[in-house]
Amino acid sequence: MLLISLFAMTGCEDSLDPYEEQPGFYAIYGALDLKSELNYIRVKDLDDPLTSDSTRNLDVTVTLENLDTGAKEMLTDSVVKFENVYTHNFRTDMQIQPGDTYRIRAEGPGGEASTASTTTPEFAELSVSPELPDCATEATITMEPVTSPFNVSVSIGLEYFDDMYWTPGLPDDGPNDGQVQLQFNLKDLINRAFQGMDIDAPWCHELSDNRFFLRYTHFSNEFTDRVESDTTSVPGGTGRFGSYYEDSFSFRIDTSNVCFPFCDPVEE
Amino acid sequence: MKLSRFYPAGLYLCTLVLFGILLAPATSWGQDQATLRVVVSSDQDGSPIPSANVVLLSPDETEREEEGILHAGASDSDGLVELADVVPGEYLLRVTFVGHKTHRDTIRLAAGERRVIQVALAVDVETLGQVVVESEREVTVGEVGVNRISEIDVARIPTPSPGGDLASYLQTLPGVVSAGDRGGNLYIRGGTPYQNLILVDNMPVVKPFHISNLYSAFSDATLQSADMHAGGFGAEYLGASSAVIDLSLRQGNMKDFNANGSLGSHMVALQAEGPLQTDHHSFMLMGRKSLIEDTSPTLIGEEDPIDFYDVLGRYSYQDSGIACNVTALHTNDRGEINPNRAVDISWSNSVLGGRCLSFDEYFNRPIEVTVGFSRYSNSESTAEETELYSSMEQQFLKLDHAFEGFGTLLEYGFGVNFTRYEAELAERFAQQESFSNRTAVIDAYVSTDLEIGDRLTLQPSMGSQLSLHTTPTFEPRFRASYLPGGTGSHEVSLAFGRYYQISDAITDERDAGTTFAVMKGSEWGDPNQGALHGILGYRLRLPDGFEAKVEAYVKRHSDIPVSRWSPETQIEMETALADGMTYGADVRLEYDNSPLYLFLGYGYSQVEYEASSGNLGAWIKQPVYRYNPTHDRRHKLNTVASYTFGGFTTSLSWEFGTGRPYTRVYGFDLRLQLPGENPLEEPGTARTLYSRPYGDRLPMYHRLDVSLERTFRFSQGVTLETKVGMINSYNRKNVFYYDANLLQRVNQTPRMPYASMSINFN
Repeated sequence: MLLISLFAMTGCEDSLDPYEEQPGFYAIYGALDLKSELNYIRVKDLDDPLTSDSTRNLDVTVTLENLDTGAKEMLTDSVVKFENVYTHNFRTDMQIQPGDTYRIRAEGPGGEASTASTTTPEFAELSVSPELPDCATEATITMEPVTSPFNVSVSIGLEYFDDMYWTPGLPDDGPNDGQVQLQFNLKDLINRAFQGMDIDAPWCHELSDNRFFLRYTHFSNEFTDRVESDTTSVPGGTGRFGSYYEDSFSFRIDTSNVCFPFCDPVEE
Repeated sequence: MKLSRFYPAGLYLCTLVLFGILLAPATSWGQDQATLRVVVSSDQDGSPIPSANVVLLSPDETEREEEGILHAGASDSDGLVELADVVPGEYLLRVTFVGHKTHRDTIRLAAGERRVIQVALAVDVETLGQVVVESEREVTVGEVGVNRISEIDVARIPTPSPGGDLASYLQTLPGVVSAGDRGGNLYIRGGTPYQNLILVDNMPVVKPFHISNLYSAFSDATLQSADMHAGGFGAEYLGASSAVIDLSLRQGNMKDFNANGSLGSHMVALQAEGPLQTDHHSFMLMGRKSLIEDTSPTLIGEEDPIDFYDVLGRYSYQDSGIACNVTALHTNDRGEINPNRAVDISWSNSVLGGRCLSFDEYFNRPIEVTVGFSRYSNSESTAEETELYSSMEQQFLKLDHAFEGFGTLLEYGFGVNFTRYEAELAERFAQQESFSNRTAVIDAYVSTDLEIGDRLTLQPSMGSQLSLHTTPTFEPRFRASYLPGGTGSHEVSLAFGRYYQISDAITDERDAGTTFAVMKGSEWGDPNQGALHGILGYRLRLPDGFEAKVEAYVKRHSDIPVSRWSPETQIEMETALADGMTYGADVRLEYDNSPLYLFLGYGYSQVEYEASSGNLGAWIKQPVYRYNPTHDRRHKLNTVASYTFGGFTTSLSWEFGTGRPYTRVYGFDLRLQLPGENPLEEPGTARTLYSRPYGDRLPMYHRLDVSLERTFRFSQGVTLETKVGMINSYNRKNVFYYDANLLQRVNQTPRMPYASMSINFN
């Protein structure tokens, strides 16, 4: 009897609903460029499978707000289709200010919302020491204000026979808070830029231009986090929202000394 | 300075002392008493008979033998029984075992004498097949937490190959949960597969279960006996925090050559065995290969791309005072747990080692030495590359002995295990880099049996493990049994103790579509995985083959390494430490009276883990997250029935289980790498996101398997065994798991008919 009862109880119930019932959270992917007049922020309803039908329309209101000034803008959708999936990329022409905090909010028709914020990086000032380094000199470039070396990505370049050669810079903490420094010997840096090439690395006086160039990206803190923190940077959703700007800088070098590598030692 | 810096030296000193005890001349502490060692074997093939009952009776009371038992014991897997502290004099020796004729002999033991007697039991054709062992019930006590499994038990469970298989049998036991019908993972009373210790003739083997959960490397043809200790085991077993499966393999026939070939819809197998020197040296070779991949399109109308094989070789030697076995085992599994996923899972085990038991009269007590090598590797590959690989190699030496001290018999042993762990993980998994490291573990235990009166038996024991990277463990354990009626009819028993294991395995159990595990040892500063066990049991044995067993248990696991979850559907090598609490109860009712066998098992269990949410990963907001892991099957009911009639044997097995926890899908995402990827130009990476771990349960599970067998005997020792049957007879659509990568429900095996035949030449 027990078995029969169990048999009857078990019946045919074998359905499975594998999707979380809580609806309406969003993925937000956006990088506010301080130097761009237009920025795009992609928003996706996490409930929608990656099919053409389910992604074609997105009923969501997306707003961007400067929490320091109170300026607020409702963003307009730019739909881009990739293969079978529509993506919704919301456009803003708000002028992004350095050092301000911005909040993006994606809200569905039922009031369900995902939000994310970023505090934009300040524009950094760069200085070189000594003012006119040469190939034997240890040069120091100081950037400030920059929160930490992880907030900047730097490449250093030089010109040789009309071609540019680039090598990554390796920023480190500066002596004071809010400072980041790059320290390098110019000749070592030239060698690094030519590493793995068939060309012999030139000396400073052999370069086509007596300037070194820096191009760098200064990120907000949100872009220095580990990749798997996507879910924590957008509470109630997923994605990544941060800010950055790209800039460049150049400094002159002393190319007057042409005796390298056989220069006499400097007598004191 | 740390104590541990001195401890190895101390332990080595102890080791030397133990060696001294072992190798000392055979001085007896009990000079006035005699010791009798009986080695029980079958006169048919010379193999040892485990669980035979050996009793010494007063020669005057042969009419009422049961009342005249003076000493009693049950033979171990080597057929050995030692009766110590026997008062010199004349006795009637009686040896009994089911299906064999009783052996009786009058013996006289002198003061201080140690005698070894070899008893070869003759097969009794009239009682063959009956498994009523009344005498055993008088001498086998203290069975709480233990399932004694014979090859007869294994053969009863319907499986597609001739005979039976240990894996199919174990899943009929209450308290044993499998994650589905593929993957080879068994969870025992709240413990995970890698918290179990599996010993094959005392040698560790990590995962001898095949990718089809119907099979292991041990069919009834190779198995002599198996003891499953679901918890509360004594300190002679060290290195597992949940359960132990202790297997003894059959030795090759010592008297006659025997060959067997079988072919079925699932498997082909060949076996040969025989004496190299009659009664002293024998060999056994066996190889099996799965045919499931080839036959499944015909049998079930769908692809089942799984494949496995196992090869076993054994050399056995026995003489008047020694029995040795050299065993080589290799298993290999490969396949796709979800055929649509194109992820190839594979694992293999290789074991080579020897074990010798010396019970020579020279020694005070039998000595057992095991030495060998064991390797386990597993990987996960796509068509392009092997993305994940991990292995674990062990070289080990164990020694078990006993001595008389403090007025009792103290069993002790120690072991050394050198282990190398390796892992190679493709870049996308390499938050923790690939690694290769070695460790050495030294362990030792001491244990004793204290009989207080006729009814109470106490078994205290203590063990310790020490590795190069951890502090020594302290593992006191205690087992006790009480016979209220003074006989074996009723038994109340309990067991509790502390358990540690030094090796870990990291898996993402949210995804049943992969069984990959990173094997690793504890690192310096890491806590060892530990557990506290407690079991209380009652057993009732009645004449005519009825037995009932009820056990309530609790396990408190600590510092379980749990994969740190990201919402993405991939394994994460970073771990958090969780604590687990399991409690439950098992009920077993068994009726065994040829030709009918009935079994009903019910298991209730609740498994709950808790960990700091900050360490566990995404989606979790509470400071401490409690969840029920994937093996938290609350209710499990199993029935097995077997009946023999007119030369046929029919068997059925029905299992019912409530749904296991699983992790639902949170959503679907197109991830952009920012800053860098332009949303207007880049589609991003499609990914499915897991929701809160283990937030829902799968539907209930039930399945009926049936079989019908018949054996035909021909002249000149040729027999033909035939078998037909069906797995999942009423074609229940049991959910295996939900594959979040493919957004696809994956079901377990549908109705699957099978047939097999086996021919045996003696």
